[in-house]
Amino acid sequence: MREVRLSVNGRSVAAAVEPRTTLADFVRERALLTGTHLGCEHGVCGACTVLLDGVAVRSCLLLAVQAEGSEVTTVEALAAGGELHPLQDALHRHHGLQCGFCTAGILMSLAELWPRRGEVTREEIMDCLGGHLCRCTGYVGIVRAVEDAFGLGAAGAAG
Amino acid sequence: MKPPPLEHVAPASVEEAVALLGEAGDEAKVLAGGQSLMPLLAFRLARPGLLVDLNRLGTELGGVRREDGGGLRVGALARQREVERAGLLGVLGEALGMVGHPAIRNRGTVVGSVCHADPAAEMCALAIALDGSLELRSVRGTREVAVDDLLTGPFTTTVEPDELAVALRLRPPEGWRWRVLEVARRAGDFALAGVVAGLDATGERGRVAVFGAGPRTYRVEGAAAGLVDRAVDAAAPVGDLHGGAAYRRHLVGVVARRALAQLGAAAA
Repeated sequence: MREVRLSVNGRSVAAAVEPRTTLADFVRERALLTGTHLGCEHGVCGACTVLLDGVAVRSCLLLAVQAEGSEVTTVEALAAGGELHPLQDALHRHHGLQCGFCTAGILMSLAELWPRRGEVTREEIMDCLGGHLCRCTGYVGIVRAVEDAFGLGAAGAAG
Repeated sequence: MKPPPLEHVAPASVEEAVALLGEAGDEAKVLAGGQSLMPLLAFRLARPGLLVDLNRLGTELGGVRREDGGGLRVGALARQREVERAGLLGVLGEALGMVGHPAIRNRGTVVGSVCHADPAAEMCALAIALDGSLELRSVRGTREVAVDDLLTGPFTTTVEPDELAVALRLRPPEGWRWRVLEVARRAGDFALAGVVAGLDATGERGRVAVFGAGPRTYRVEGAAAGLVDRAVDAAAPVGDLHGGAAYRRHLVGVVARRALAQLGAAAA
């Protein structure tokens, strides 16, 4: 067992885990934040995406011991103070989710791009969405929500 | 779908990493980006007793830079996304845009992709097309080997278990222009077939490195005329549920022809 200490959404979390424990399992079972979902557990579906020091990563493809000393941000951090994040609000309004299983991962991938909204291109955003499997929505609602939130507009104003 | 029990060590220097590999031999696996190794662990297709984690060696192994003579040196810990954004070599950035998804490229490394030797991987083909070589370090010394000589078959190379790939060197021949094209069912998938194609300044000589159409990535070169046929002739694809052998072979011709046409080849 190895003592691992990292920060999750600004809160320091320490636990003794086996080296083989993934960051996803650490977040769910040690930090007790189950908003991060586990779908395929081999990097394909994107459901487990979190931010590691501000960068979107698959938390199933990272060991918890590798995240020692890092800042992890999960979907629970988005609606700070009970107000939905603009990305969450847009997905809600445009019916960009149904069962919601994939939503946390999609939100965290988009959260990496969010600080650069206004300059990030449509192509970049679609490339980012391409890394997430959603089996309910057919993506139409998700794309509408993202166009709205990022201000892309039907004409693709931002590229 | 959970990794098997293993030990993990994150050495503080390349020297220490190499020493660890020297002691552990084939009991150990090098962990860099982990975007191929972690799935192998999850499926229990790999069961190393020890992971030698390079992720604390960013200062020594990170970064991509130009070298004298027009070459490029990509460190073992340079993330695909970082190399893609560095924009030092157009075709490299284009090919990286086809690797996995952004969140995968945020972690995955160029060197790791080459070492993993997936026959359908863009990076092996790019390395072969651009006279790439790996710098391999072990307690026995350092050697530099052409990637073309390292690949032996699907997911297998002649990199020894005690060797650490510290960098990839790419040496694009002067004046050549390059194009990468592939056919994949979905964005981010491994290609059913793809090529990295190049033409020299006269348009008379070219190269085509083919991926996804045989046990390993391969390269044909020489006169631009007939290059497509030679690429197709050398294909040895195996059919699977994603595409039959004949279809993949056909795709090699299609993408090679298109790539060379886009580069302005008269009749390839």
